[in-house]
Amino acid sequence: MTTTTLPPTTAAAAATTDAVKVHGDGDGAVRALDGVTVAFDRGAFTAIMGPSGSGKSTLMHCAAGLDTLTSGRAAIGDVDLAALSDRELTRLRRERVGFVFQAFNLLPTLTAAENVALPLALAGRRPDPAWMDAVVGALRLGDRLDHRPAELSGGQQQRVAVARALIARPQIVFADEPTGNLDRRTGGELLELLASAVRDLGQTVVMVTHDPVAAAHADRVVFLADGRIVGEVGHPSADDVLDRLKRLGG
Amino acid sequence: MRRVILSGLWARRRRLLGTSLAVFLGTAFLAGTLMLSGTLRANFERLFSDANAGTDAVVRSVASVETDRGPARAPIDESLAARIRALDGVAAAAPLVEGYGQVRGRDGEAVGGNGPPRIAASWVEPAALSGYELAAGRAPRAPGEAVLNRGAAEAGGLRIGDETVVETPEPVRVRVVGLATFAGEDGFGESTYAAFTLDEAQRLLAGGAGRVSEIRVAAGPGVSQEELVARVAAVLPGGVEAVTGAQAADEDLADVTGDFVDAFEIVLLVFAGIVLLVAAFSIANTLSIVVAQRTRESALLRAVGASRGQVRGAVVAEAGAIGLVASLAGVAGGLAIASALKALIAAAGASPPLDGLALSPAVVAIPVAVGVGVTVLAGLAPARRAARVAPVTAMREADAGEPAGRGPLGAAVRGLGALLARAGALRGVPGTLARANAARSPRRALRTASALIAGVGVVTLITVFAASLKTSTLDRVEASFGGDLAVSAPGFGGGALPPSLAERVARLPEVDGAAALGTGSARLGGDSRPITGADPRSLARVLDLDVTAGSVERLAGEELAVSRDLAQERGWRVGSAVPVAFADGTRAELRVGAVYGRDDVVGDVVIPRATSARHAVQPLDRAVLVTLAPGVGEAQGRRAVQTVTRAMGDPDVQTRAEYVEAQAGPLDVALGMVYVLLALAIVIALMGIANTLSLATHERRRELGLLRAVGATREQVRAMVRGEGLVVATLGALGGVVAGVAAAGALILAVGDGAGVTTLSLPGARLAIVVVVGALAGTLAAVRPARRAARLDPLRAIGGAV
Repeated sequence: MTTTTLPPTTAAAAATTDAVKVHGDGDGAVRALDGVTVAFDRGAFTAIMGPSGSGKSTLMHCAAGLDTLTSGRAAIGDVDLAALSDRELTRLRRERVGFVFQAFNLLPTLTAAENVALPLALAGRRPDPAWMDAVVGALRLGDRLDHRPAELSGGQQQRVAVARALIARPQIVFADEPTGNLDRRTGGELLELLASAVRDLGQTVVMVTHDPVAAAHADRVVFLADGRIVGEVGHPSADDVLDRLKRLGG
Repeated sequence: MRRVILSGLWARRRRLLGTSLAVFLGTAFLAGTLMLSGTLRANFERLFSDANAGTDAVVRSVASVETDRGPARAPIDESLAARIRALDGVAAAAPLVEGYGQVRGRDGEAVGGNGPPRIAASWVEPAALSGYELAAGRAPRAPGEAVLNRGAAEAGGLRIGDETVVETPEPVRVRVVGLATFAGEDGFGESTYAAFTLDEAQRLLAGGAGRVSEIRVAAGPGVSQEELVARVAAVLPGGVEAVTGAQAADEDLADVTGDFVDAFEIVLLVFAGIVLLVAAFSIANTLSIVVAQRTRESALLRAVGASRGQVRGAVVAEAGAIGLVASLAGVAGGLAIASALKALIAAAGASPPLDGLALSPAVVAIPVAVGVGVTVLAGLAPARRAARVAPVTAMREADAGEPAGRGPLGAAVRGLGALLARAGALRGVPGTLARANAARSPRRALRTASALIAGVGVVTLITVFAASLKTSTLDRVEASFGGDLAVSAPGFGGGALPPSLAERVARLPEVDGAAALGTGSARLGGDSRPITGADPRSLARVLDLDVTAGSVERLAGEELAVSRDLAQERGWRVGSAVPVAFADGTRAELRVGAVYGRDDVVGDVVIPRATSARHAVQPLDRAVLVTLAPGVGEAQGRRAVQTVTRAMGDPDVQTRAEYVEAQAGPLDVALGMVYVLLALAIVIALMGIANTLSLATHERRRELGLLRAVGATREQVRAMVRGEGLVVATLGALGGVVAGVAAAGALILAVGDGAGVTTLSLPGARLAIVVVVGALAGTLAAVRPARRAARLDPLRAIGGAV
């Protein structure tokens, strides 16, 4: 295990400690997270895998400050998320966190360029032109910037979402099934772009997925089942991941 | 199908609340109006039946002239009373004199007025024949003694033994010797009552001894009213008639209700109509959105075999159900509205008799029928749209609306958004998104704004029309009034100046000329009209009447002057003979001596004062127009005139500018009332906007969640929704003003001449206020939806697996 000891060191971009999340109460209560301690290293591409209902999305939401834990700690850098108000959480998200969702990533009324710049615009800032060019170039969006989402293909839309996630140079990017709605080829391209953001730009990326092929692009895969961490693999191939999954699924 | 409809209604109950509220307010206003006018009628009915309870027959002269306060009747011979008393079956007969009399309070202030009559009369014994009964003190026995109704005495701070003044309209000093009640109450509604001895009343009010207004008769045991009338009629001379007490009461009631209550009811019903019109737009809009949101549901129904008619019927039935529930609630709300209107009327200074609330089946049935009808009508178009949904739509993803509306409408909404952004009202990313969202579906933006367009449009129409009327009137009064000062009768609703006032003012050294405008009515060639009695030479000096033929100045005693409109209508010209019947029952043939163009100050008919005063039962003046001697300043002249007026009821002495402005005074008061009532229509329109924004927020919850996830603060989300409200409301307010100005222009073109409106006057400041208030109110309407949008949990909104 490469999970770090408490408290999370500054080496980790984000971490949870004994994270517990209970949905509902009484007889209907579900423990979505059951004591998860995990750290996501800076400059690394981490995949979170697990069967559906394993709590992988919940882990991501809580680690990213979109949801709150029932108990335990979640931190981004050295900031304890539980200590933040809604306003502070919002500011943290737009300054230090990038998001890529499976669908509904873009505002339909804004152009691609406006969608990319959205987190900065919300903070009242403009993107650094050199960085904007670099991101747009890396994601091959140069000729698509003035289009609205409805005029873009699914792959292009997801690339715009990745560009938006990178534009504020966040400490960490969370991606939730980013290739879930894409065909295999387009999905592969997007994952390659994410991986190159880590490799070439030093970006930290955490991705939730149930696709072993997708997970194989990561530096490290963390497996979740029934709200607990049940193992991990470093620099896996798709077959490694599939093997592991089969054993988990039992 | 019924289960589908009912369960659908229940599931969407919160959404439908917005729709119901519009119907609720509309029907509540309608019900409140009906309740209020019903109450007014019931109260008047009770008052008049009380007043005539002890009277079985009334003997009076046949009406000669109709006035706006009922028929004017010539006095009859007092000696008839003795002859009637001697008849078999007559228990009592009492002569009665009645006229105008303003009571002054202890502090010299006028008591009552501003609507309800100010009555001076002879004291009648037995009390049953007048309705007034002594509650304290005694009846008047000598000149200078008076009985007041208890309410007036209390209002004026007067007690038995106090001395005060009653103006009939010449000031008469009186000592209060008794207090009277009317049917056990402090008075007859809010009217004031001062009773003298018969002799004095005859001198003051009936033009001399031996003349009375009417004779009231009580029947002996076993004699019916009809039988009594038959017996009395047998001894009456020509021109004098007897009617039953019941008929007299009905006529009195009809005079008041036909005039006052009907006008009151019509005005309020027009407002209720406007409110319902605005509500209809609001309902149609909400139902459209609800139907759009249910596209998949409608498609599913069609896919599983529902016919177009069934889908359409379901929406119409839904509208009907909403209408029924909301209208029933509206009837209950009408009680509150009626009470609120009562308070509003009281606050405006009027005091019609409005005790309790009269409820009847009609005040329930009419609003419910209208409410259901309006809702169903408003639901027809959305129902047709729902029925057009193709079954295959059930399989497709729902669409949250176009990203950018096309066409001229979309461009207009975007342009408006850009304008607001430039004005600094829409800032930053929230501002940009608000503009974009408003322009997403320009049709929906327009539908949402339509209710506000209707409401603001009506406000604008009335504002522009009133402003134009005022400007036109003031222009004409200004052009015609060449005097320096004017003395006006106090209060509205038949106040009067004593005719001697003009004579005394004219004798002042500071005054060059004083023309009194006498009030009266006469029948000209079969048609009753108000007349102005004025001295031709003085009148011509202070008023430029724009005489087109003949001469007002040289009008002889047997001549009259008429307006150009009336002359054209009747085909009269200078020299035409006009048969005239006066209020005192006499007839004469006058010749047209002049035709004039400006009728704003004197009305359609001017009769020389010498003639009109001779035929008036109680001569009354409504104004005295004054020109000052050369070299006398306005202030000095006013002081001089006030030395005379102070002793004669202290009426207003106005400068030329004040007098001109005062001619539009009633219009301003009426406009104030109109605005208060129309505010309700605007409130309904704004609720429609709030409703649409709530629905849009619901549709776009995923976008909102995304915004929150990528770093929009709650305040930014709120600002975005408020901004969209601002754009839509500005669209409504601007559109309403444009529509209203256009409608006012068309109206003035169509009827302007007849209504005396010659110029279109645009009160820019007022219209700007209307737009700004409308736009700001739109932002206010967005507050709740904005708060709801900001509370959305970003996670749930994204639809992420939880």
